Amino acid sequence: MVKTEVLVKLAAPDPWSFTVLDALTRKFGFEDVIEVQRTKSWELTFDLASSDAAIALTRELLRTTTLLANPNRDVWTVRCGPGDLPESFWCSDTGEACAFVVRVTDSEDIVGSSAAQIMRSRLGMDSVRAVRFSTVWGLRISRAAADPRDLAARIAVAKTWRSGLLANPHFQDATVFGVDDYLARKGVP
Amino acid sequence: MNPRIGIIQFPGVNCEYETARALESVGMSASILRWNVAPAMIPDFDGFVLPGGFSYEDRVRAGAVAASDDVMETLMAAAADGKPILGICNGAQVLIESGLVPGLTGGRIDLALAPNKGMGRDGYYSNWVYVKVGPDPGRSFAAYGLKEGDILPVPIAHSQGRFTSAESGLFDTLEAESQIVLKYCKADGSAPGAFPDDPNGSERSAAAICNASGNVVAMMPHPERSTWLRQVPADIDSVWAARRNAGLASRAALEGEGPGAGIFRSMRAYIERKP
Repeated sequence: MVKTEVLVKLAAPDPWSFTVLDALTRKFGFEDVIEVQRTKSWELTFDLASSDAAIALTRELLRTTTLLANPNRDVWTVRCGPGDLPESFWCSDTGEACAFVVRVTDSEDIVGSSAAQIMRSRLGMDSVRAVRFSTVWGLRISRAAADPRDLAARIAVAKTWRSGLLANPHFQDATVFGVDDYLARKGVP
Repeated sequence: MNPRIGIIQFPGVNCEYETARALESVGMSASILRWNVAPAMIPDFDGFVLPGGFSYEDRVRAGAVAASDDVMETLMAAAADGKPILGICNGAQVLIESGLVPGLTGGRIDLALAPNKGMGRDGYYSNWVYVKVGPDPGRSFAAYGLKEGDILPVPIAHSQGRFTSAESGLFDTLEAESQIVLKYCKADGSAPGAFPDDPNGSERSAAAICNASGNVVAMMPHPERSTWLRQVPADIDSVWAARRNAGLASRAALEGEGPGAGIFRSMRAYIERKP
């Protein structure tokens, strides 16, 4: 089995990210949050022998359909294994702030399983074994925060009113990574 | 004096005007308030409705961003005062995401309205469905004037309407405490089974859930879209369709009450029975 990951962002500034930043800073009072970015992640598992073949098939899917991304609206990158990604996809660590990735996946991933079904039944991609869809949030948090990682973890999960936002734990799983860990695919099973 | 209801218009909702008309049709007065009105400027309403739509474009999660708005503090205070608060569809999602429903553990978010499942695909589903009034209808304001077992045809239109919880035993508690106000059912009132009678895979087929005091109700169906007989489809299997079809010759008859009006009548009766 070989996995690829397609990361998709809006080509234009993302209003969802602005909404989240506004909510976290103005409503939740998390003023140490400096930047929010949102990326969609599609993890595709193929029954193929080589990563080159998996990447080629993933790129063909992106070229010929709008199932994962729409070229009129989105930009994307494909990876298969550890490695750097275009910096525009991430909040980065800086001197004043540290960056985290919060990956949110529905416990029952209906979006991903529907996409897999479409790939197999309508697009004839018999080698697709599974698709997992996640929303990957990038958070840049000021180092002035008492515990930036703890703040990222609080933001990740909505437990009580105005305590967290990105995932409802009753149907979603949220995992917090440092950016380097995510890029090293420690976050990708 | 008629009960006065405030309708909160979050950015992106789209059912506020028909909700106001539905409230007025049963003798209540309705005022639409923008979500960012200063709390001090909010009149002393007898109750509130959070209408359907797509607050904040469902960004992050349906209802999640609106649930953190300042106006929710006013609603929380009203809920604590025992005033009825009805969340319809997106309004229900806001109430769930704020923890007001089921409100069992002091501000904790105990439930979710997760994406529909059971359709064989992801996404939005819109149709007429049947719901049945649960036991002890006087338990909540939304069924206050209805009878246990009443079957109401009502429209739904949502992609995230599946009541669920990771809390073990929570739905046993909700069932035991009669907090599941409405359940999806077949036309004859029997258990819905699979899609489409069960439109979204909700735990216990829940279509509406109330808080412990019964004065805050999160309801996924749209009663404001079934308030008049003229809104009822001709071809559904229900006495309501028969009434609608019998009234076709008369405009006045079609303006008669539809199944959803009972929810708003219940709200009015609940307010008026309070000392």
